[in-house]
Amino acid sequence: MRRALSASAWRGVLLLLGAVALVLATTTPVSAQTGTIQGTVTDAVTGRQLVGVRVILMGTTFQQRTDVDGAFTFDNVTVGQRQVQVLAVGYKSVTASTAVGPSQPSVLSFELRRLSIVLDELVVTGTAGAVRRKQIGNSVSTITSADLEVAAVTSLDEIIRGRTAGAIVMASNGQPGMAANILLRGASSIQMSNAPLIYVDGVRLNSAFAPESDEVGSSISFGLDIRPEDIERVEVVKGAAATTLYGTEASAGVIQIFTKKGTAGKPAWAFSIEQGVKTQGHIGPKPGADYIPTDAEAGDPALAQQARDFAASGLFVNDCREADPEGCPERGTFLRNGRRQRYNLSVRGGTGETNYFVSGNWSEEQGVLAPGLARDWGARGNFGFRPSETVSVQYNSSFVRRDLVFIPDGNNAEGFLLNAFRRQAGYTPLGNDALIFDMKLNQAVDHFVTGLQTSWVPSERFRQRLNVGLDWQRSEYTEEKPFGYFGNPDGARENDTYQSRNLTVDYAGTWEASVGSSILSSFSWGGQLYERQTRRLNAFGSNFGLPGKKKDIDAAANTSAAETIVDLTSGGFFLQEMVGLSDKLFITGGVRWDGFSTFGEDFGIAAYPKLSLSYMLSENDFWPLWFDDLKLRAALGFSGRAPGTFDATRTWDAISGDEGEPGVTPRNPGDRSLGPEKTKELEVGAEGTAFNGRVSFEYSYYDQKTTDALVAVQQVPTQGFVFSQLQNIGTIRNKGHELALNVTVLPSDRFNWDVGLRYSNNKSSAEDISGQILPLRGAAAVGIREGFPVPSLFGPVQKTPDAIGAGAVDRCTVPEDRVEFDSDPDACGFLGPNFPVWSYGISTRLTIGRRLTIDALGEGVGGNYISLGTARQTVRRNVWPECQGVRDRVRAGDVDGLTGETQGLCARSPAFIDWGRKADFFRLRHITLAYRLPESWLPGNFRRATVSVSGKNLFLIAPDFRGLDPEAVDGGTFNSGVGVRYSYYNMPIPRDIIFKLAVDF
Amino acid sequence: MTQKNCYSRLTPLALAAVLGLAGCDFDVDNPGRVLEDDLNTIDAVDALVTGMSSDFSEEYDGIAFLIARATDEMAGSGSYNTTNNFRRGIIEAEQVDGVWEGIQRARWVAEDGIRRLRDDIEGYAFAGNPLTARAYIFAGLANRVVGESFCFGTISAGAELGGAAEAAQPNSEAFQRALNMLAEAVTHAQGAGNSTLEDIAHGGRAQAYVGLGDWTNAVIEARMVSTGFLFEALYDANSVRENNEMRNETRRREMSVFDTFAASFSPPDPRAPYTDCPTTGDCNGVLGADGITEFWRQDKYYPDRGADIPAVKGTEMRLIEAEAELRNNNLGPAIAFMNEVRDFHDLADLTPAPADIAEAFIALDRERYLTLWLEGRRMHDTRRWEAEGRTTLPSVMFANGLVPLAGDNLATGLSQRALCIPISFSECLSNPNLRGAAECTS
Repeated sequence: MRRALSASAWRGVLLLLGAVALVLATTTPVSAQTGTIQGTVTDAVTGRQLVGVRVILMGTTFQQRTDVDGAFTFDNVTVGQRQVQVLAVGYKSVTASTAVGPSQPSVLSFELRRLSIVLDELVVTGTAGAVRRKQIGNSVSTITSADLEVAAVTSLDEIIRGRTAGAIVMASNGQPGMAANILLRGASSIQMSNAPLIYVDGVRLNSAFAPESDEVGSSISFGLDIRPEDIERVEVVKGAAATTLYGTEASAGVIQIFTKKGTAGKPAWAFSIEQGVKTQGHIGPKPGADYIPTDAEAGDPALAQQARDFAASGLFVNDCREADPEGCPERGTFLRNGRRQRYNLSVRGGTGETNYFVSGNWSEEQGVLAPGLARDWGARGNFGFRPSETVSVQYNSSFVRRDLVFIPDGNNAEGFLLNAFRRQAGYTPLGNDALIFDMKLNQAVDHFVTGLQTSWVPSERFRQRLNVGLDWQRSEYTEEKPFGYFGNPDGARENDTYQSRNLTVDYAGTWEASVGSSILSSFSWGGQLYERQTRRLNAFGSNFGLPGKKKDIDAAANTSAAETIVDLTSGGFFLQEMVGLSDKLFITGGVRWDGFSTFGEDFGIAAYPKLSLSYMLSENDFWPLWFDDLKLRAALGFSGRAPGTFDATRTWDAISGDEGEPGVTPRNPGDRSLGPEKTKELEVGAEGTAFNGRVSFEYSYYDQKTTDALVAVQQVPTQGFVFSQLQNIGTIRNKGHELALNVTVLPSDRFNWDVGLRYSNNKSSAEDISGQILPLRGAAAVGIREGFPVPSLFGPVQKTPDAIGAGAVDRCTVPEDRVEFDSDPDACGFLGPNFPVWSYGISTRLTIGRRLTIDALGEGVGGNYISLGTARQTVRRNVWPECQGVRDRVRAGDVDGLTGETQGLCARSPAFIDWGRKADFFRLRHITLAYRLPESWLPGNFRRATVSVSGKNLFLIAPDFRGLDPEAVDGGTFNSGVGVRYSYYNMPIPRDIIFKLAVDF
Repeated sequence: MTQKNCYSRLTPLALAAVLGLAGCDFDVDNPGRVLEDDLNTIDAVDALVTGMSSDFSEEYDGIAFLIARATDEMAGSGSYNTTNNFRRGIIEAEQVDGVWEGIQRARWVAEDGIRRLRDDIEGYAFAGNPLTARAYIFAGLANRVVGESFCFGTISAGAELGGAAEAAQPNSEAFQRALNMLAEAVTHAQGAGNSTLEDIAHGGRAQAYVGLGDWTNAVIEARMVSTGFLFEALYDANSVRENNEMRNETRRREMSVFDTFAASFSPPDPRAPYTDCPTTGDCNGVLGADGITEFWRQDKYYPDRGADIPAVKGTEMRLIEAEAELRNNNLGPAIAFMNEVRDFHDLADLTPAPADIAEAFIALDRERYLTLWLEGRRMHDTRRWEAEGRTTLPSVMFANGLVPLAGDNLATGLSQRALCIPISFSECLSNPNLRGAAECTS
């Protein structure tokens, strides 16, 4: 496929931008300084020196970052009264005056208090350049390294989870290394990815998941593998109102990660070591659960006892000795305590003109089932230098290598839980489930990110930046079934190699001008190029003929291969004007134009406008002093999402037939007018602090509407093209509230207690899908219908589940859309949304005596339903404890005393909708006890040492779920479309106990 | 460096960066898919016709798998939600999207391919070309499968038809369409001097005439095909798409011969071979994937992933002739044709020989069951015989505690059963001519 995107038009616009840049570049520079100011910056609660904090000499372009001792120095400062401002991400900014004398240095000491809302801090995500938070009309969530100091997190999804209102992190699988979906403000697309864009230091990552293994049912993500130890801060903007300047593909939000940089001073080393254990609690229903049948319900005491035995054994996983002895390990359980260990070493330092941050790490996590494993190592080098006062260059690179070993699970005839739970009714010969582990599933992942950021700030009024970056990803997944393997006695091997190269070029400039003393104008322009090349080669071989050592695919008698090559190019530019009045009212308007290689030939260019407003109500004279800051804000913006590579084109697939001859078959009817789906979002809210920073809050309401939504329209099968065609015909709506509240309950140097709450909800609806009914996965009863949340569970729901005895099972009809649902009294076939509707995070941090810290985060997620395919399918094999004995009674028609619900659940072949259960849960994500050792205990060169013990996912409360784990779902990572969450023999999330020693020297 | 000098150096750099952006080429060139226009070349002809064959095979096994479970050829012994329904004779529109779409695609690909070969490809010698004959064969056989297996014939979509009544056509439409296509195939095969292709076409026409109830012409066509003739839908171990689905479902123990009519033969009839796994232990399990049904493995398509499935064969032609004789009350010739088939399979003659036409019909039922076992043909036989009120073999043994539905007729097993595959949910949803049509709502 070859397509031009009006390149001449692009060239013209970009040349114009260049000319503007040249004219503006003739500005006269500022000059000359004298004097000396020295100082230190520390955390007011912990007393820790704050490294890399920005210190600004007001009224000049001079600024510095604190060194490893939290110290700063300004030389040659003009003699007189000067003001110094300290800006630290996540801390309340402080400004102090000092008189600079000609001889003695002026000394300042800053103690900063943590604050979740800092209106003076600079943010860059969703803006044309760095702007103060008070100036923007949309919400930005910021997570800083201070927030993560003692948190037991290992990946980006764990960082976001529970700390960002409006973000729902949907885990997928408890095996080491498995990724999670991050969903910001619900699913705004039915067919395309709902994953936010991820940037690291200005380099856009391909945030797609690596190709999913059909033997595991989940996947890994390149976008989430960054080391928390390397992160300085994370900014999250959640919807189109904030992401307009990112244009096409940004409507699901943007997460931008900023990694640590060096700072002037001697080298500062940081080393941490973690040792711990990963352990799995009880799997499945517990014998004492109130839904385990009584003797009477089971109809036979022996069957009731059998139900309790099955449950007690964790369905033959926790204890496999008696019920399923074939292949049961000597220790009597398939589970083990997996060791986990992590090591991290970094050094940062620099001079006035250069800085560096270099880190390396190694970690290993063993899964609770051998040989499950995730082994990672990585390195990062961030180097900055300033060739002049106005130019800074930052070159950041990182490399991560991951080696993963998986256990087959999920919807897989050779999956472990599937076979263990089903006992003799599984696929393993004679129920010998240990044979599963003969299959070797390995994945080797390489991820390299490099970027050059150049900033040119010739004056306070004129700024330009140019970022060039490369994100290179490679995954090699191998699946080996050795000769003699029960599923493929002749052996088989698959190699699925995926490679993605992503190039980002991002230019932006800003010109500021003042009109009088109260009007500020800031005009910005810029352009971006993004190019993605993906290559995937899948080779498969079977029938090795002979036993022996590990073989390559060449040794197989039957081989096949498939190659996928996809290139994608996009480019866009924007113009933006921000006007500020009296430093209180800020109005921003802008437009982004985009071209995209996947748009239809007849589509043209996409335009995304934005308009936002912020007003600092607290900067009026009438404002009470106790209420520190209050910003009111509103933003309206558009962004989009492009169709897939071949969606606009009429295509056929190359296939083989006639025993190896090349052939073709229809694939995609095509649509030449296909364009992006456009998401319009209105966001209003407020944020501020009160009581001298003790209370901070942020509230947002958003109303998001995706029009021209890409909907997979079922083609008429008799017309030959049986695959769906994407068409711009849908409308999807998401509305919701977000609240973040932080309270310092006890503000004291000796006893400080912070409590935080994040809450968000989301109401989604497929307002218009042109009458389409989109069954996403029938076996999970999940689909999309007009007027209902995206996606939802539909099916013949029982009308009177609590009715008892014969005739209790009375089922609804299933409506096709909301209108039918509302008008038909029998139409009650909508069970509920499949994706979480609400989430909350509760965090608390108690610091005693500046040394002892207790930090905890709990998260609740719910409002949704998940079909328990695990239970449903196991019921059919007469093994699931909840139905032991009951199922026989239902089959025999002996239903006296049994509710309609029970009769449905325990039918011979239960309806999937009957096993659709509420998936509300609360999980203690982590609790950490950390102690900073007295400095007198430390060797001379040590600046700080902290020991801690953490527990992750220590307990789960899911009162209505009755399955394995509401977070362990099949196909739980999805690159396109809304995906489906349903339970199907997926490994639950294990618990972690971690001991950590962190040393700075 | 002074700042002024710095500007003078960096300004060109900034300009160069912008010019660099402006000079970028936004074109992309992605391989992997075949564009529509690329097919209108002489070099694409082989691939087009192979595609027709592949699309036919792609669904032929799926339909056979469905029919096997719905007609007592096999017991569903696995985890698929549809299995119990099929076994009970319940076939719902939502459960047949795959088979409907697959066979309609095969039909459309062949028919549209013929149009493309004739009208769009310069330099292609359409007349008398064996590839043309093959294209017509796949178009004809796909229509024959539609006519035999589905409740309605070829469905037209879009504005070409005025309403629902015209959209869902009777099966005779599909059979007639098959006859037309296969007549063209005969012509082009003769032009190419390819007798094999000609035999396939004659055999297919005989099947279509059976569907129309035109026994005179059915016999005329059947006589053109020798008893030993065999044309198969091709499968291969090369990829999952090319695998024989019934082989794979057997490996998964999703279906079992246990408690079917075929299982009543011990040792197995050579036309319906199986292994009694619990007895022999020579299998990868003794129970089906449902954990209940004894796993008796079919060996007709096992263990070869690339086992081919007959689509036209001479033994069936003899049985067509036998049935035609029975319908003309000619008992002796009918028995002779049946014995010819048995002899072909090294089996003794029917013993005792059927004494009358009624007994002979039962024998014919059994012979067709065994001869065409797992070839996706059984449903059409039960449908047409049920329509005539003829007694047939018990259809379902209701094994494994399968609870009969209220309307199940345990004696015949047929009266309440689905005897054809309905129009799929996807067709009903998407075809404007079928919106609200009775064929989609009943």
